[in-house]
Amino acid sequence: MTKRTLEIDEDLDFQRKEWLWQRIGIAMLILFVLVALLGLTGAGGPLSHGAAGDRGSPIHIEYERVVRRGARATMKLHLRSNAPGAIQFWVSAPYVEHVKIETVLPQPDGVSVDQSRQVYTIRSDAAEATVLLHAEHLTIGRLHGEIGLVGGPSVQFSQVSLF
Amino acid sequence: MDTVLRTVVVYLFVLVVFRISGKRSLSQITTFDFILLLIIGEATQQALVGNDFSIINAFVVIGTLVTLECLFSRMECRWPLVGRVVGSLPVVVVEHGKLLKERAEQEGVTLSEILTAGRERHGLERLEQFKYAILERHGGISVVPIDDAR
Repeated sequence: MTKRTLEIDEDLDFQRKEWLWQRIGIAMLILFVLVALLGLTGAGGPLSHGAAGDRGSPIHIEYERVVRRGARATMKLHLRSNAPGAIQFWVSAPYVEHVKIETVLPQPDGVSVDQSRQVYTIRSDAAEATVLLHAEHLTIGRLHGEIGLVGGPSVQFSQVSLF
Repeated sequence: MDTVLRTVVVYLFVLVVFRISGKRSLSQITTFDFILLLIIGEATQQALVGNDFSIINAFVVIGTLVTLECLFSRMECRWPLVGRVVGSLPVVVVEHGKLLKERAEQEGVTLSEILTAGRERHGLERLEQFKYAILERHGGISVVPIDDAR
């Protein structure tokens, strides 16, 4: 072959390494998308869905194991109370310090606070109620929480909040 | 502080993703690529500013991005390896009328694209008229015709 006269900053050894890294990078991007589809980056997905408490027990909650800071996450509470007319449940204070509870549906009749928890009272003619908690997570990292019925059982759960 | 950290993370992520996607990924922008860029820009903007639409927040984002760009530019000048890692190197894909297939395939450059570059810039009709075709760092194809074809 004729001698190359081109003055160029070419380095084939480096280029081969670059091609290899690009393939690895593309594989990692595909893996990242798959992980997101499974729900490990939050915002839904089969591996993100969590539940605590037995179905049919006085308190059973469904929540997202992986949430995102600044994004809204929903928690569904299935509550059964022995006291007719109202259902009272509480959310542990350490959990509430790391989240901003934006809405509670149905709208509670009252909210009271004591040192270790926030207590919500919901008027209900039925003994059972499903309550939705929409909350925005304010911090990053693992977060433990507890929700319970006033004078009844409680369930613990843990979430991971991503940046 | 939060805005600066967000901006640095997003900048590095975008840098890595576009580096992985290769030189050719957005060098020839089609209509679809253009729309894709707009969507990426919109998603990036949301991640950068969050819910804070204040002017000072925009200043912090812009300041951080330009600072990072300047830093990388200086680093590329001072340490050539940084330039290679961040911006890649040019690759010769045609030499004396012959397509270097392995290189072209690895870079995702087709013979048709090389011939197009030759036609557009030098009016070249055949591959034999190419002395060199080089895939540049920015993803464009430079063509050097053989002396007789000039």
